[in-house]
Amino acid sequence: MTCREGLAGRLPGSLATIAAMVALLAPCLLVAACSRTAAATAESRESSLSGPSGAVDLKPTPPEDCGPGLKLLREAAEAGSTVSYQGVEMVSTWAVTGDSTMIADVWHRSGGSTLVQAALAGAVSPARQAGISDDTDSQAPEGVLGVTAQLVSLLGADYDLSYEGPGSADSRPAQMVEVWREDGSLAARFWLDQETKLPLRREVFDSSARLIGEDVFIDLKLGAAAAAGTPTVPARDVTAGAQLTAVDLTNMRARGWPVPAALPDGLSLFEAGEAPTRSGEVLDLSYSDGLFVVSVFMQRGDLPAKLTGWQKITLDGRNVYTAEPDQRSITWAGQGFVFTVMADAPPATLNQAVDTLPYDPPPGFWGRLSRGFGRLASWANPFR
Amino acid sequence: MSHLGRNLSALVDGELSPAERDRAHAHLAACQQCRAEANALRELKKRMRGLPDAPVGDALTRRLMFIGEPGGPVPLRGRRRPLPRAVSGRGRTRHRGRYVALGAACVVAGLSVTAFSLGGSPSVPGPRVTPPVEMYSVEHAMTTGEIPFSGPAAVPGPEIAGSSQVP
Repeated sequence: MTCREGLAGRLPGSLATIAAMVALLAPCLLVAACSRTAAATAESRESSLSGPSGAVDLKPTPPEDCGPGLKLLREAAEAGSTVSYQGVEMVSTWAVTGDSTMIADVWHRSGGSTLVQAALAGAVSPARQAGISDDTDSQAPEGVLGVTAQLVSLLGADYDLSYEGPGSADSRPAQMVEVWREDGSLAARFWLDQETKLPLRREVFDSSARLIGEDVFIDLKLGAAAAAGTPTVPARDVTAGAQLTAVDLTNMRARGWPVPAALPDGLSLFEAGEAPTRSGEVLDLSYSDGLFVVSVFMQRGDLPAKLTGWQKITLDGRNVYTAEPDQRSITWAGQGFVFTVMADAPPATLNQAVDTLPYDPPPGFWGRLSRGFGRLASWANPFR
Repeated sequence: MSHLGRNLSALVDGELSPAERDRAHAHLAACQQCRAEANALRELKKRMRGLPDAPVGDALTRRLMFIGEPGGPVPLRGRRRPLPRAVSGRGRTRHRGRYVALGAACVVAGLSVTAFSLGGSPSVPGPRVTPPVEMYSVEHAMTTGEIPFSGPAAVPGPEIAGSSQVP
């Protein structure tokens, strides 16, 4: 402030007025430039996935640095990998299908492994142990509390980010970043550790400003104290799957794999991979707008007659199965594929994503009879 | 003098009332002709009682029954009884047609049930896949930076031989 007053005192009055106007308009111009950059980035990403060449990598193009909000979130994504931390993570969701709360002990070593021991809580028996899900890959998971480098890039492209000043989370000083939709509604709010920028808390809102998700770290330890308490888990003997490019996906579409380039609600395909299993190749597709993520797993085949542990429900007129009790996992069969969808997204977004993928409706009485006679005829055909 | 007439056989069968029987006896005492007829009837009745029970043939029975309802089975105690051996050529053809129709209906019904059962199963050949939801959950968590949420722990699914690399 002192510097600005000195400069104004040396300039003539008109120049001072112009300088003041420029100073006032600069944030607006900056926001406009950011919006244009974000729109161009989104358009570029969309065209790269749906274009005929498909030679562009699936990774979203990071938008230019538009402000402190995006910068802080980028630092937070990096901190999720480089900072050693240990604590209890509590994930709560509020949905029409039911509320759920999940608690997990999390250990992460700087640049190394992340161990998660999750136990369901809330409406479900808190004693139920999901077991340790260890991952010895130094790159995975990429971040924490939904803050990864790729998702932050998407977030900067699809939303407006703003730095809201200091705050507090888990009794630690924090910096707050808010995520806003184009219609002016608040989409999410992040609390980042002031010292390390590690995400401490996240709140997610629907378009009606209703809180639908909250991720919180409790009893967090950082640095050497966290690294010292990390349990040792033997590494899994796994063979890494393959990451797919847009060209690979184009080839897979030509072979009949129904790979959507995007899902409704602005969810674009930003990551794809495949992994071998005993029952065949599994295609793993990830769609997101930076805030909500929908993973689609598809595999050739059909569901067995009975799915133990799954509950049959009707979703928008479709007969699907949901994994009890979270109802964030949906599976069904259609056109020779088994689809499994997992979502960190509102139910409406999940429903629209499910509607996008193939589905075989029940044949009905006559259809079923016709199909059965057709099969009998094929058996009796000596020339087949 | 009028003779006994129809009362004579009734007298022999013991079906007259006591007053009628007294009057009949008084007439027989005076009428030689009626007395001779009464003796003849008694003798016939005596002989018929002495005859053994002769089996009645099916052919006779069927012919007798068809007198009341020509061209179709004869109702016997409320039930219809198929008598294929004695029916006419026309009736035999009709029954054969019914049996053929019944057999064809059974075959069609059996095929329909089989087809309906087969039509309910998936039409696309391929492996039966139980989604390995816990593996998927971990993969999803790796992508989102969230903790993996638990699926149905008891689900026996195919073990993952490799995992999708998240770059």
